[in-house]
Amino acid sequence: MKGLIIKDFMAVRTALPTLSVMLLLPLLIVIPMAAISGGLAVQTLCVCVTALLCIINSVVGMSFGSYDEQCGWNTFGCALPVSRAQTVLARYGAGLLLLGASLGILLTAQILCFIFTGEQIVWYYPAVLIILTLLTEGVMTPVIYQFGAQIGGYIFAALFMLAGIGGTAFRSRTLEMSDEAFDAMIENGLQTHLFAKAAALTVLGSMILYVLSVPLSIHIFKKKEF
Amino acid sequence: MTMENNTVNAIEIRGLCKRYDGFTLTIDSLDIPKGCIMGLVGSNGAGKSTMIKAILDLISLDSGDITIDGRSHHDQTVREDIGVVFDELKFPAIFNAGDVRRVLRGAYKQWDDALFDSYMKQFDLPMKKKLKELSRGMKMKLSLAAALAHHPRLLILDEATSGIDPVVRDEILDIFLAFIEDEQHTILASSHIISDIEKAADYVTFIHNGKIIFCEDKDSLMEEYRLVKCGKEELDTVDKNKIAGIRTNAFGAELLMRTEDVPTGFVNVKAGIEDIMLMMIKNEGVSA
Repeated sequence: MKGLIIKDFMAVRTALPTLSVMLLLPLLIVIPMAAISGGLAVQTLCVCVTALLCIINSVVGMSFGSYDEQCGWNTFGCALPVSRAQTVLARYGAGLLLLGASLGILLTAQILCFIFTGEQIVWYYPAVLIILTLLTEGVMTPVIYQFGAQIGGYIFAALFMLAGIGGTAFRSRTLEMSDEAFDAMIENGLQTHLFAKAAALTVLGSMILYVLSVPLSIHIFKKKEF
Repeated sequence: MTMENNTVNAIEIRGLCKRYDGFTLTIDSLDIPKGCIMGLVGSNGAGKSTMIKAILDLISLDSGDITIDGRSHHDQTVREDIGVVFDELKFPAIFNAGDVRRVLRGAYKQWDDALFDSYMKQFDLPMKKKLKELSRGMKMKLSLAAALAHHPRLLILDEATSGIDPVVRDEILDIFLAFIEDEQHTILASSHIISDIEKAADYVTFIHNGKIIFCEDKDSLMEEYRLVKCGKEELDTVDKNKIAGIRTNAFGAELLMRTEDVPTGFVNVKAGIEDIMLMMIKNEGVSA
């Protein structure tokens, strides 16, 4: 199983320079702003890092399957002394390692912000990162096992667009309030206990979905013929 | 986990059936003895790769049982003892040999870095060059090094020598012969390059349209059949039921017949595996 996790990370390593640039470039713009003005700019920095890490986790997570398909790895991988369940578990393990690394980067960014600007470390950014990564991987891993990386990519793009359209529709039709009032509601809402409870429940929910996705992926992968 | 097993056969197949749309692989019974090289021959789409996939448990069977060294092929531990070489090296193209070693070290309990390195040296392969920069022959040799470096007792090769120049093919055949020196070692190699099979194999299994036409000791097989040359008039005198294959030309015909069935006085020569295979394929309607 260790070999399979190593394989996944080695396969995506060529994408690391691109991903690093993707992560660092916006930061180079936001960091000076945050250092000068603090406050909102620091929040912008954290939002930026969280969003980028979520995207990177999704892209890298799906790339694991894509690389396997390109080189026909699964035919060889299933001839190794590793069960198909272990193969799937290794993929989820790689996903969790990826989440761990991205959490490390986010927390490091938050700690650096605290050291240099005195801005408090906000807990909901890591929570958002955990939720979005687990949701994406929990949904996309069985989808990719079932339909392949290419169709999986289309499904991911469709879900991403649907989420964006849904969020916009919710914002404009249900709330019917000005941008300022909406921002104030979000700002105030983030400080409430209700939000904290909702966030904790969402983290729990995404974890449950992630865990439930494992046997589903195993079931799909066990039925595959190579 | 390697288990010492006293079974005579490396692979036993019983009642295998695998159906696809328009193709069915059926093997009633097949034994591959330990300590031999079994050549699996047949045309493209005959069922060679399907049979190998069935053995490796890469496909689900409609029916049948396969045992490898006395253990079910579903048993994942049995794969510790199997080295596999497919027609392509199935690692990402950005990997190098060192990466392959790192991955397989984590997959096989018996992985031997020193053995892998010695094969790399023997095959004159670069450790740091990316796979996409290697020639097909180099990739195949790397596949072979990877397949041998965990001390397998069964080596399974699926069209491993196709598309490789004769010099490299010869090197690879020498490696097979060295591997088979240990009587507990077995090789199952599918190929449509019959000369390789003729050179190295002890047994030959001929598969056509998803069915095994014969599975025999190579030397006995080559003794068993003769190529009989005859004119048109002579052909009329031959019992058609005794013709295993026929190839007609302007002057007469070339017949494939069992040695004991060759009519006296007819010119005949030893049949090669390729002759046997081709004439049987082309004359399915003729009784073998």
